[in-house]
Amino acid sequence: MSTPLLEVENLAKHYPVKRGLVMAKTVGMVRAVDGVSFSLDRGETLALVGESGCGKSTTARLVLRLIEPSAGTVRFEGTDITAMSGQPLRRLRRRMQIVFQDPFASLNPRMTVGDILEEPLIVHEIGDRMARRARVNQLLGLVGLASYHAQRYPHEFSGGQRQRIGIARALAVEPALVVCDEPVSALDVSIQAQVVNLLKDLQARLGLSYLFIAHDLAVVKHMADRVAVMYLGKIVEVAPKDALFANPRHPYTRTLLLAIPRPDPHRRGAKQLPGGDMPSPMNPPPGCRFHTRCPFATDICKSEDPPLRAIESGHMTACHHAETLPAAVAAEGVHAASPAAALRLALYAERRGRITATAG
Amino acid sequence: MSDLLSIEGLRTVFRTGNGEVAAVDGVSLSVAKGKTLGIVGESGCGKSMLSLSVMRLVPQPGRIAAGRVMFDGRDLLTLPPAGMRDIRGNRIAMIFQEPMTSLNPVFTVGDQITEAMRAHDRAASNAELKARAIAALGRVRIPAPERRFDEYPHQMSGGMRQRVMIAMALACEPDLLIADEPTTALDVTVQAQILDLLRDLQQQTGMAIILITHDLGVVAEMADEVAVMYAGRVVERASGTAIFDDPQHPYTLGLLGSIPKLEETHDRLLAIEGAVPAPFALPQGCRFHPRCVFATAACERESPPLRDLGRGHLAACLRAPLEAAVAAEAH
Repeated sequence: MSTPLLEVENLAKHYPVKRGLVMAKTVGMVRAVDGVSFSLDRGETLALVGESGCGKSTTARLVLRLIEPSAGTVRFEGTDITAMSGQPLRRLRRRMQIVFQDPFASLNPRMTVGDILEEPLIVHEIGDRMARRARVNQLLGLVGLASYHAQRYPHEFSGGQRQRIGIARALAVEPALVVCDEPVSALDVSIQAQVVNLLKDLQARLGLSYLFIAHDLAVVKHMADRVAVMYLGKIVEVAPKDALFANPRHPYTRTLLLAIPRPDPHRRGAKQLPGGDMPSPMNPPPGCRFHTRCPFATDICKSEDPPLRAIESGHMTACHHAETLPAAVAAEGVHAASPAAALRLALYAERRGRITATAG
Repeated sequence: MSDLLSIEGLRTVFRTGNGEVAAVDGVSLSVAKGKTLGIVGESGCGKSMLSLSVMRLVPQPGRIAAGRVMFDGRDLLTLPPAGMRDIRGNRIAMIFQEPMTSLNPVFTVGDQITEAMRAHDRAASNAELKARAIAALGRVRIPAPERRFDEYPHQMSGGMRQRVMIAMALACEPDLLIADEPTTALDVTVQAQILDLLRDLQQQTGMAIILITHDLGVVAEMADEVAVMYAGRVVERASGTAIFDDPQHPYTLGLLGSIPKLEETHDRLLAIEGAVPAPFALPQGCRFHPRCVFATAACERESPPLRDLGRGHLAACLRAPLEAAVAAEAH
C-alpha cells in the first residue's frame, strides 16, 4: 500500500492556564487535543466530529501547522512536517488549504472577490498577472460563480455564495489536502445542501482529500468516507462511514446520532438524550472522559481510561463495554415518508436531476 | 378555536434607494393558546422581520404599512407606545439566535434577569427578585442556579447562555414566546436539549410559541402548525404533521429534500439551486418560479393565491397537487 497523504500520530496541544499578571504562574493545563492519531488517504474524506470544545478545530489547525503541537507528529506525503520551517514550509502550504466556518468573517470586506482569489497566487508566486486573472475566472466557474463576480465585494454576496468564494480561494493554489472547518454549519439547510454537493463534485473532479470538521453527523453521512468521533481532546471512535452509522460502538457516537433533528413529527419526543454539557478540558473526569454523561457507565469507567482499540477491521472504539452495548438504536422508530410525500419528492428529484443533466 | 395572536394582512416595508420594498408582504397567520406555530424559510424570506413587526420593533427605515396584529382582543399596531411596552417582555417575550450577543457581557446573568423582572414589577424587594431569578434559572435546568446567578455570560457555554435567555424571557410568565432561530448556533446535542426544555416549559405554563427556523427538522420536533415563507409571503400553511406527510408547495419539497437524512442511501442531496431574491428584485408571477423545477409559463405571469386544498391545508402554487399536474403534462 502506498503511503497515506496524511498521517497524524499522538498529536497533542496543551495550553497552560496562568494566574496573576506580573508573576504569572501556571496553574493548570487545558488539554485541548490529547493524543490523537489518524491517517487520510489520497482522494479520501475523513470527518472529525464532536461538540464545541472537543478539540476538532484545534486538531485541524495543528495539521496545517497554523499552531504548534505540544507533542506528536504530522506526516504529509511521508515527510514529518512538525519541525519544518522556511522555504520547505512555504512550499508545503501550497499543498494544504483550509475553508473556514464563517463566510462573513473569513473574507476581507475591503478586497474584491477577484483580489481575494488572486492573493494566494501572488503569495506563492504563481503565474504572471494575465495568467493569474485567467485562473481567477476559471476558479469562479469551478465553484458555480460567474466571471463578473470578480469585481464585486464580499458584502454583495449571500452566505452560500461567500462560502463558494472561500472554497475557490482554498483551491486557487491546487492543494492536495483541503481542511473544511465546519464549512456548512453557518448556512441555511437548503444552502448547506448546495455546498455539500459542490464539495463532493470538486473532490471527484480534482481528486482532493478532505479533512472535514463538523458537529452534525447527518451532514457527515453525505460527505465522508470515514468518520472519527472526538470527545474532550481524544478520538473515541473511528470507522468507515457505513460501519459507524449502522453499528456505532461508542455511547457518545450514539448520543450524537440521536440528537439529530429528524424531519418526522411522528417520532417527536421519542428520544432520551443524556443531559449535561461537556466537562472542562482543563479538568477532565478520571477514567473514561465520557462516563459523567454515559447511560452505560459502570465502576470500571470511573477509574480506567479505555484505550482506542480495534473491534473489527478498520473500526476502532474507546469503550470498555463496546462488545456488550445493546444493539444500536439507529433504526428505532424510523418512519418512512408518507406515500404522498414520497411521490412528490421523487417527482422533484427526477426533475432536479433532469435539469442538472441538461445544465452540465 | 380561540386564537391568542392573529396576524392579518401584515405588510412591512423599507424605504430604500430603489423605492419602497416589502420585506413582509401580506402575511396572515394565527397561533392558539398553548400551541406552537413554526415559521420556516431561508435567510431573507422575511420570517424574522415578521416577528419584529409583531413586537413593533421594526428597525429604521422600515415601517408597518398595513395589516392588523390582534393579541388578546386588541390590535397591537394601534396601541400607544406605553401600552406596547407593557406587552413586550411581559405578555410576549422573545429569544434570539445569538445567546452571546443578546446578553450584556459586563453584568452577571443574575443582574440581567432581575433587571427584566424589575421592569415589570416595581414593588418587589431585591431579595424577592433574586429568589425568583434563581427559581427561573432552576426551571430551565441550569445546575447550581445559586452559583450561576453571580456568573458572567463568558463563563458559560453556548447552551447555558441560551438557557439564561429562556429563563429571562419566561421571567414574567408571558402568554406568547417568539423564538427566532433559538438553536441555530448550538451543537446538535445542545439543540435537542433546548427543544426538549421548550416543550416541557410550554406544557407547564401553557404559553404559545412562535418558532422561527430554517430547519424543518426542528419544526418536526416542535410545531403544531407550520407556515412556510418565501420572499415575504406565506407559500404553504398546514398542520405540523401534514406539512411532512402531504407537502404541496415545491419550495417545501425543496426544503425537505435539502435535509441530510441518516436513512438515505444515495449520496447527493436534493438542494434548491439559487437563492431567495432580494425584495427589490422580485420576479414577476410566482416569486419562486425561477428556482422551481415544476414552473410553467403560467407561473411566470400569475401570482398564485394561497388556496385551501382541503382540511385547512393552504398552498400558493398553481400546480398543486403536483402529481396531477405532472400526469396531465405527460398526456
